[in-house]
Amino acid sequence: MKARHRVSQFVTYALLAIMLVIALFPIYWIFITSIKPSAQIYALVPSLWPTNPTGIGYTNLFEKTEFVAWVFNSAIVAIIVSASSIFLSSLAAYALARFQFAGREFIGMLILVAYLLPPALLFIPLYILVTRLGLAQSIVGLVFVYPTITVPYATWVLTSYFRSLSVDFEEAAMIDGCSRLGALRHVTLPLAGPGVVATFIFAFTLCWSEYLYALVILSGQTQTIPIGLAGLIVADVPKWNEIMAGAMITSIPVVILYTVASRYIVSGLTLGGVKG
Amino acid sequence: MSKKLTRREFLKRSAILGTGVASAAILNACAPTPEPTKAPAPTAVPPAPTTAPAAPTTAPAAPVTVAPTAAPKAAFDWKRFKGEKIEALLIKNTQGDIMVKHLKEFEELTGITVGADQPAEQQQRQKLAVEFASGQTSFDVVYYSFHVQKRLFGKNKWVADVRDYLNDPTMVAPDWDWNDFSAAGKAWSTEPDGRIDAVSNKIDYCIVYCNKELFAAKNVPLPKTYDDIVSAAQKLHDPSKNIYGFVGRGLKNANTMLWCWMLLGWDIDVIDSKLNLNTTSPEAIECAKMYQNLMKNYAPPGVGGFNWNESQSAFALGQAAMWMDGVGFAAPLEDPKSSKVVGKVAYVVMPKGPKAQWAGMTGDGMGVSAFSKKKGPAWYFCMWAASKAMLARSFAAGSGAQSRNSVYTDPDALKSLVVPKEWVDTVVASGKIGRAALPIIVPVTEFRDIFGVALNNMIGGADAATELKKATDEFKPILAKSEA
Repeated sequence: MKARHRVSQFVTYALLAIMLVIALFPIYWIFITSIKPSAQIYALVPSLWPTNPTGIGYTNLFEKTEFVAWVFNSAIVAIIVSASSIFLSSLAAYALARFQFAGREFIGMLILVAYLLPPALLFIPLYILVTRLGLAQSIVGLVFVYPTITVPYATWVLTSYFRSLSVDFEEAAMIDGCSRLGALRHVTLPLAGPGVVATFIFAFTLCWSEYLYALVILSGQTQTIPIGLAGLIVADVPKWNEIMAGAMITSIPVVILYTVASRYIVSGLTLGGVKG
Repeated sequence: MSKKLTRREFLKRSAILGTGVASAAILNACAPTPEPTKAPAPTAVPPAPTTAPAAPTTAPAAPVTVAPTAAPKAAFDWKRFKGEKIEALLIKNTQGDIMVKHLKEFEELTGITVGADQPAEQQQRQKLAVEFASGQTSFDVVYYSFHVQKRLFGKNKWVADVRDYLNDPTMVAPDWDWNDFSAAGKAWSTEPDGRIDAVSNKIDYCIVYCNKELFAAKNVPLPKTYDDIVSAAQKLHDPSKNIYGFVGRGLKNANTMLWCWMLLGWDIDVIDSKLNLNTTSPEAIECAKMYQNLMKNYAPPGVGGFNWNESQSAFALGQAAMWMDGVGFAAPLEDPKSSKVVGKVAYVVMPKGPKAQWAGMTGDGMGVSAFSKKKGPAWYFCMWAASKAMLARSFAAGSGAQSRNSVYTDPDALKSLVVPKEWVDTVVASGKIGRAALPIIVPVTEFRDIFGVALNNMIGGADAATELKKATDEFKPILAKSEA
């Protein structure tokens, strides 16, 4: 019996180890490519570790490109959009979850449809809108456009989450003198913490790595990380050291966010998903 | 009497506000795309609708001569648009760099301020497609590739017809001289209906770079025919000494270019003027077999992953006896810092194929956005960018062949040339047999991708006829849809 348990445990760990390798290998490959000399990057037989590691990719990235500005632009856009999306979505989701009004189901469905619409369908009309508002060629345009993706998703997830929470807590708070908004702020939102964190991180990651809208809306002087790094492919030739160094550095904030908040993300997304 | 807003009411309205932002996306999707603004006023010959397919990509079209108008109303003045500001969307390449470097000169000459943007080529192409499709461009003047975007731009009339300007002496600098542009350059600029959509800046011809030292060591003559290429590759191929007979583009998409260059030797276009695909013709199969033979048997290992830069590296390191590619790589090959073949390169005009001798060409130029509200200043920028002085600068930098004939005899440009005179002779000779290699169609990228996979498979040993048939079947509906 004990032996069988050990075998089962061994198989479990072996499978987990294989999955871990599969999951981490791309990151490992990005890292070693960022420090490989050019000749080894293009070698016919790829090596798993560079013989003469070089930091030229990292140095060039900071000294010869506008990498710091790209990171700054991406961070500003991601933080503002994520925070405003949570704010707008919380209000919308709360109303959809708690109130009965005509067209509620229809609005809920519209939100889902808006989320499912591929961005490629929307970027031309959105570009026209942003241009007419005079927001093109600046990150303000992105702050205006990204919520069209993040708000539907966040509203959809948070609506499901709010519905999963018992209304008794809010009613108790209101009996004790709390207003409706006070109950939302002091009772419902803290209880929905995992859902809020999960949607914030989703919105942040989306803005951090979004390419299509940023390409269309921004100009050469103002860029975000994905556009800046893609611009390092000149005349079909990618500057692999710099691109991989950039990918390595810019994945750090996302990795930290997911690591710190992994518990919330799992419970937030699963609960919202099941009850949706 | 004002109605007090209850909390419930407030939250309801908040819901509508929040969901409103979300549903804005849907509404936007339904928004109609505005009609493109009109191109400049009709020219002497009204442009015909561009429903007809692209002009055949055979020999360069007959030179387009622009007749000067009878008597100039006023003299040309570079300062005519003083105080205006325009945006130029360029590309990160030598031409773009030279324009940006000398931008001050244009600003001082004209009093026009220029905001220049230089994204990478692929990004710029994606951006262009979106902005033009939206009918609102953030730029007034644009640098683009004829061999990739000519049909797309021409079909949609995204760039303005500049014949009005060319015919107006008050809009053309007296020494600018449209007739100095080569026939090939004018052919690239001209649409099938006679519109002139751009000013050609650069033309790239396919040539064969040969390592003279390796050829001399085995007493092999430089190739004059396709058979000579194969025979020389066979004789000079010596992998034991790390010497390979031939190198070229094997990477998917990039490799289609090489096949199209070679195919001109059979005197056929890959897609004819009626948009019939010649990709399964006996000539196309023969050409693919030649490509397969050279790349599979005489090229360095891993050539299936080679683009022009890997091919250039192999040739510059002295590892390849021949390299077939665009004419613009002489400067790095003659640079002692990056090349081991300095002074050893023979620049050979594309040899004669089984039926004809053509030098496949690509080209770039500058156009005025049809949606620009500052077409006059934008035209001035195009004119300056393709002026004798500017193209002579590009030529001297060794960036490739230029569209103006005069640069090849410009003493200053020749004096400061960073590449051998032999290269200039090859460029001039190639200009006489230049012919567009890639089809002038909208889905050029799809064409290159699909046939690129087929060619790449051939390097791995796949049957040429089968691969070409498969690729043709896949591409046919894409082409039909693009012209629907």
